[in-house]
Amino acid sequence: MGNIKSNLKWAALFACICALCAGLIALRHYFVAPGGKAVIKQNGEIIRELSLSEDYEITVKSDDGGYNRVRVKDGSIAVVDADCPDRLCVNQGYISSGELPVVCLPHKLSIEVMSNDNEVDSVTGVPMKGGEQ
Amino acid sequence: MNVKKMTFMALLLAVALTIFVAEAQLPPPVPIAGVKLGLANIVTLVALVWLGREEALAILLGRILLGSLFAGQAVSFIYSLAGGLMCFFVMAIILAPLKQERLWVVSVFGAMAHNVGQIIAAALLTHTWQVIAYLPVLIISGILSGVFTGLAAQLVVKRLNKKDQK
Repeated sequence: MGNIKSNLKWAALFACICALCAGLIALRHYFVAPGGKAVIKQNGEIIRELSLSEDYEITVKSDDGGYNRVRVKDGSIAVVDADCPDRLCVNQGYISSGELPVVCLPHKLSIEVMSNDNEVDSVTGVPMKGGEQ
Repeated sequence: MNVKKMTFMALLLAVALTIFVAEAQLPPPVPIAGVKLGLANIVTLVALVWLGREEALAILLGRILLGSLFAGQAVSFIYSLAGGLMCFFVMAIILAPLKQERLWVVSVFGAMAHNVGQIIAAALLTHTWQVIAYLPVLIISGILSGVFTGLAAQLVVKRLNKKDQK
């Protein structure tokens, strides 16, 4: 093994990066805007916009014949069932703010929560302003 | 390329593939796409040190192609490829200045690059730039798993070196 001092230096650098990232996560958590609606995108295109004020369920079919069952409940949204192989989208559970989107990579599906006053640019499909990022 | 080298490469590819497929069977530790141990990277590191860049790249590409065929589907191939290549190029570049004793450092940078590559692929495929929100989480996970796989690779290389001297 090489000298311990140099190893420690690298360890300190990586610890700093970890701390920085943890700080970013905390900061984001603190400043994130509360959500009012959810935007569901498939293959990069917005396919549904859902208000989070009512409770209901929809099923989104994907190109390859798969599905994601999306449920809105108490102002939050989640994928409650899906036939993708890893089911990470289901395990992620409910989201109610724009902090992290729910993503189902195998079905190229994403669900983002944003506040109601965010206009979505009709040309690019990108939210113009607000609590995201 | 002599027979001994070819056999060693085939062996490493088989080991990498086994680790890759076995790891895919484990339940994900955190419900966030991209958080994983990346144990197969141990083999890439060993191949980089022991054989060289081209050989390591060949083993990596073989593992990603066959691994996606065995364990995943078309989409996971793209993510694996994006992450794997990003990881490989970063590791191949910084291995020379850092030397073998700092293999764990090489591994950490590789793991971080892997996760950055996967986020870029996810952002491009889903057209959702908000997935960048996952970056801090995945950087931390990359550092932790990178230390682990890097130390494991360091141990393997040490054993190989010792065996070679006999």
